[in-house]
Amino acid sequence: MIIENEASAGTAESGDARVTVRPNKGGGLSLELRGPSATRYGEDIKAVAIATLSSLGVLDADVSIEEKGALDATIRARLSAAVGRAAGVVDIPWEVLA
Amino acid sequence: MRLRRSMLFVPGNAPAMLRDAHIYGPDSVMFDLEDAVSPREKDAARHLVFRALKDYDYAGVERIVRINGLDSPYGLEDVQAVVAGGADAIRLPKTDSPEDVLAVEKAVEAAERRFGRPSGSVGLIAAIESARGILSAREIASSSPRLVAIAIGAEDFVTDMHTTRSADGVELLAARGMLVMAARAAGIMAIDTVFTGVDDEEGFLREARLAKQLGFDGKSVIHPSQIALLLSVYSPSEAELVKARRVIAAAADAEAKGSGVVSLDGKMIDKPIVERARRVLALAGEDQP
Repeated sequence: MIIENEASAGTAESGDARVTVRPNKGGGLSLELRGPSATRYGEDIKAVAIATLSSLGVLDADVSIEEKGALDATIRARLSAAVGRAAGVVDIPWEVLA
Repeated sequence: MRLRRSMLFVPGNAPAMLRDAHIYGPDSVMFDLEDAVSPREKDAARHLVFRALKDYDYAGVERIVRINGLDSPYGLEDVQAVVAGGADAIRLPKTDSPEDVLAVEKAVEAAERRFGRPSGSVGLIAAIESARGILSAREIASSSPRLVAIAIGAEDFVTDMHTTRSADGVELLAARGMLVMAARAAGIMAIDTVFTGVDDEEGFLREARLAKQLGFDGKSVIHPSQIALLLSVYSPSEAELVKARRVIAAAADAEAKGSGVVSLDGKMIDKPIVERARRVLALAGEDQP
């Protein structure tokens, strides 16, 4: 998927994450993470995010994640939703998100 | 036999609630993509529910998803996400006719092929919420082999009937009766509507007892506190259990002797009594082969 616009998904509520995806044409993936788990689990969360982006074929994006104790499943869901919105894709290739 | 005494509604866009839904012990969790989710969050809720289905272990609790109608811009994509995620069943909102069921069945079949799930593995529950739907309940209930239950949605129904809900539920009596009969005739389950007074324990119990007495197999609930109340309504008493076990033992004894007549304490036991005893044991988790 190609990130055409800036888009967000999620909330700042406890147990959730707010994910924002911005275009970064030709610039690869850049990832910024903030939140209570960032210090301890930051590398794990980044790995989960990169795996999700790569399964969706996102090569260039500027991603920021503000997590409030969100589990991996929530971060992945908020990220794939934000990517869908930013790429303007309605019919998601669910099979690649397995 | 799978019991569906309690179906807990969980808003599809609430990550923490999706994760914890099963810990309160419902027979089924029902993730809601329809009325609980605003139009601008429909896509995000779909992603959350997909991941919850994929990633969380609900310890054997049935996982149902209420999708948006296929006549909305969201319904078809809901089906894709839910089938891909691995849901056990889909609940259709506002079912007015057998055609509504057949349309979802067709979409689910295509999605099963797309995502490599066995054909027929996703069940359907049709919620009936209008006068037209109640009058078609019989045809709806037998419209698809995928249907495991039909359910009544009271709020929309009473609005359609130009009335409101009351404490004794008289406005729903005919509809509940027709819905249960349609379910029984089709050999599927009947699920009662939600009770919205979360703090009104007495009112909830009154309504749940009425639904059980009418023949309903269970009830949709909107709050975890209502699950234990339903369990108390649907659990057989110790005396009922003891009697049911004795009836089943007597029936097994008669069968072993090749006798067609079952008797207990000098009284003949009719076939319906044996069947009711089986149901009592099933509700207590003592399933008979």
